[in-house]
Amino acid sequence: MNIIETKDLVFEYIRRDEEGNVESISRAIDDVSFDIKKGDFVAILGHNGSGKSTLAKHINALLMPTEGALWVNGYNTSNADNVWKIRESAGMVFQNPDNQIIGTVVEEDVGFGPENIGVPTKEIWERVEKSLESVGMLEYRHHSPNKLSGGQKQRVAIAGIMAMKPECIILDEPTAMLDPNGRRDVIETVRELNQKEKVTVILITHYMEEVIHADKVIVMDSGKIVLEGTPREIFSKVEKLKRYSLDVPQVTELAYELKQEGLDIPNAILTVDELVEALLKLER
Amino acid sequence: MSIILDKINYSYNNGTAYEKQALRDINLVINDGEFIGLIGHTGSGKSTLIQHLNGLIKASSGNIYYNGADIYDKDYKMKDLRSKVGLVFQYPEHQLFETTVFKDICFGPKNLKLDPLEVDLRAYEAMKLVGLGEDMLDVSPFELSGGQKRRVAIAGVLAMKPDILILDEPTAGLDPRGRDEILDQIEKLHRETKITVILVSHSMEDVAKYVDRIIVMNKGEVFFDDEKRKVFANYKQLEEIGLAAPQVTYVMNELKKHGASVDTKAITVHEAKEDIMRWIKGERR
Amino acid sequence: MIRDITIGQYYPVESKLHSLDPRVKLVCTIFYILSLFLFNNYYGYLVAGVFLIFVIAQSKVPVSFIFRGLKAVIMLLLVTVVFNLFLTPGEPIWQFGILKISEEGIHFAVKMAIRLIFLIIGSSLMTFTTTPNHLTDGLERLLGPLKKIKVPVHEISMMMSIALRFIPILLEETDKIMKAQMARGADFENGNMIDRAKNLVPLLVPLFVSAFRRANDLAMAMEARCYNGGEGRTKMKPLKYHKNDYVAYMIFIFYIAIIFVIRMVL
Repeated sequence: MNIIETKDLVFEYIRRDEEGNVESISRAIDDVSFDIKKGDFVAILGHNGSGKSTLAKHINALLMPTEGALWVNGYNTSNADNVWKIRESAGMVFQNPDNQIIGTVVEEDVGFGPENIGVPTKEIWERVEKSLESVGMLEYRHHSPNKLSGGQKQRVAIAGIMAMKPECIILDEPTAMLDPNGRRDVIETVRELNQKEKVTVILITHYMEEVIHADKVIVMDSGKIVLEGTPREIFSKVEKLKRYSLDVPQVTELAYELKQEGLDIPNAILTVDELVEALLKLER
Repeated sequence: MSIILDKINYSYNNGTAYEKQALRDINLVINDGEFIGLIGHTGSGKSTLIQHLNGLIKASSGNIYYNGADIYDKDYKMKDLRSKVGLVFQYPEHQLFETTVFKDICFGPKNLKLDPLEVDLRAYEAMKLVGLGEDMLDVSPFELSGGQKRRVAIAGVLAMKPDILILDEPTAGLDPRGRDEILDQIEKLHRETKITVILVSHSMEDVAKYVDRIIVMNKGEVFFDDEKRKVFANYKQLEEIGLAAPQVTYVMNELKKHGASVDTKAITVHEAKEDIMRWIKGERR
Repeated sequence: MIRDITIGQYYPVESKLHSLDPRVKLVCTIFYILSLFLFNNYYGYLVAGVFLIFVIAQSKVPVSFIFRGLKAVIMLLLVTVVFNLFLTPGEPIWQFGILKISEEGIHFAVKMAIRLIFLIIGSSLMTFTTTPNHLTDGLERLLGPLKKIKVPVHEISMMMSIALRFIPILLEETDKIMKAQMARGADFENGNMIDRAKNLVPLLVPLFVSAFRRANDLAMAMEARCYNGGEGRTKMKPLKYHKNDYVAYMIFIFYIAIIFVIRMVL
């Protein structure tokens, strides 16, 4: 079953001058159609300005399509009556960890979403506890968010979404402002939620290492979907990815370069172990 | 021409329960024309260290000599030091404030009380150095893309004609294209003007590709300070303090462990490729 | 200097006073301050002082911490005392040129000083023992009836708590931008008033830009989490009166009663 379906989606930014006349129109999303299956881990890749963040905001009904349509859990996002149902079933985590935490205490921030959708007090506490535990931040429940590291803040933000019991969680470059350790923690948390809680994950990023474990990767460039497939299918197209201003993990690139030199190694190597194994096999 | 740090200690919140020693007994020599990478995980003291170099933070004890002069001498002009040691902070685009790109870049040299013609000349030159075209002169800095804003901010520091350029994670938040553009530009700048560059980075791949010498910080102390290959050869110790070597270093070490006659010194894709090919061809011969 | 100002800070310990409902603390603080102006003799101050000592003891906030807060307003205190001392009309008992001190003046100055000290200690005890969030919650509930005359009570308290969350972030940001501009040769310390004001532009513009960006991001994040104003919201930590809160109210009413007796009898 599909949790998200889009059909011929178009979004245009219209710039107007002071009199309200149209100055320019730019297509941020250009005729995009794709489906996301329930429970999948889907990564959307693209450089800055490729339209991936605009697309993410559509899934949360923060933006409405100019043309075409998008359904979340069967609800059409163009219908204003559906907005709150959509936001309840598709939660969103943003890039800047500081600018999305509302509470002055960790647990109160996690409770903010459930409060908004009218969950009874007792259940809010249960949900807060459970979702903080699921991101490994329960011991920080009484802390001030200001004292946490970037990675910890992002995990609190994820807990804040999980407490609303969404079916799908969209992460819009959640690691762009984090250091490598914070990045790893956040990605591990997201993977775990996907596997244990069966929540659908849509991860938007430009770090290729983060998408290795995805079920499906979508690559965007100038508002269009240019590649779609499993990580291995995508990573085998090193030249193409470079053309879209993306880069592949160092091992993948090394493997690709060696293949160009005529070595007989498999396509799209993703890890150090895979490459070492392939090379040692050659030797024998 | 160099910076010498002699037994630098720095602690803050002195005399309270929150007292913390951020730097411990730092001894460093930074020579003219070097390209240095400064690495260490968050909270290791990197940012505190670089702010000492241009006098924004004063050490609790120890001395810093810039070209032989003690910067803590009461007659020393801190403002001169700040123009000679240019510091580009993380997310430097957040400091832009003028109405046009050109005016913003002029801010630094203007503060040096140079004559207006010299200010303009330096700003032009700085724009060229970071690869900003003349069509950008009168554009508002707030209308530019993330990568372009960052170039404007770097130009703002370069316009003061520093001898040393320190960049605190200049690629944070940029996409791969923006990252490569900025780093290539800095590399070119270093090559052409022989300016000393200190690059603070979290990316081992970037450090491996661009710098010559690496200083590793851990818990406020200098953990390693050596030529980059020698530092990455200690990748196991780097892992213990939450860092790592470039992925290819792991490939080479694994191969060697399994008996392949490769050199574990490779730290870039290109080096690794050459070396693996040499090994494979040797095997086949 | 700034670190010496303890007024308005929260002091995290567990005590009976800390666990009281914020509404109790808000209401009692307001009436305590009013009570200080009800009487005009030293017995009243004695009672008010004893009551204050009792509350301090219940709060478990160290006395030294409380007095550190007073240090910051010592100038204000001195000025008030001096003015009252010299400017109260009455029979002079000491005179030097135009400066006169009367007995009434002395009494008035002493009483004013005590009032001010009690007022400051009393109100800072409330902030020492109540988290900012609790305080805004309490305020929202207390001002609840004003909703009927279209006062946006929920919005005001939401604004207050967001402001509290972002003050430390903006302070840190100010420090960062200041350093970044100093690295470009900016000077925030020297020059005359006009120069200094001009020099603030490179600090204030980026700060405003950043504040707007954050506000924009935050609004979007709140919307994404289904925030839709106060209607239909539930509370994670609803305010509910417990036994101790009623006890506190009773004690306070008892105190007010004594004050009234003193005022009428003595």
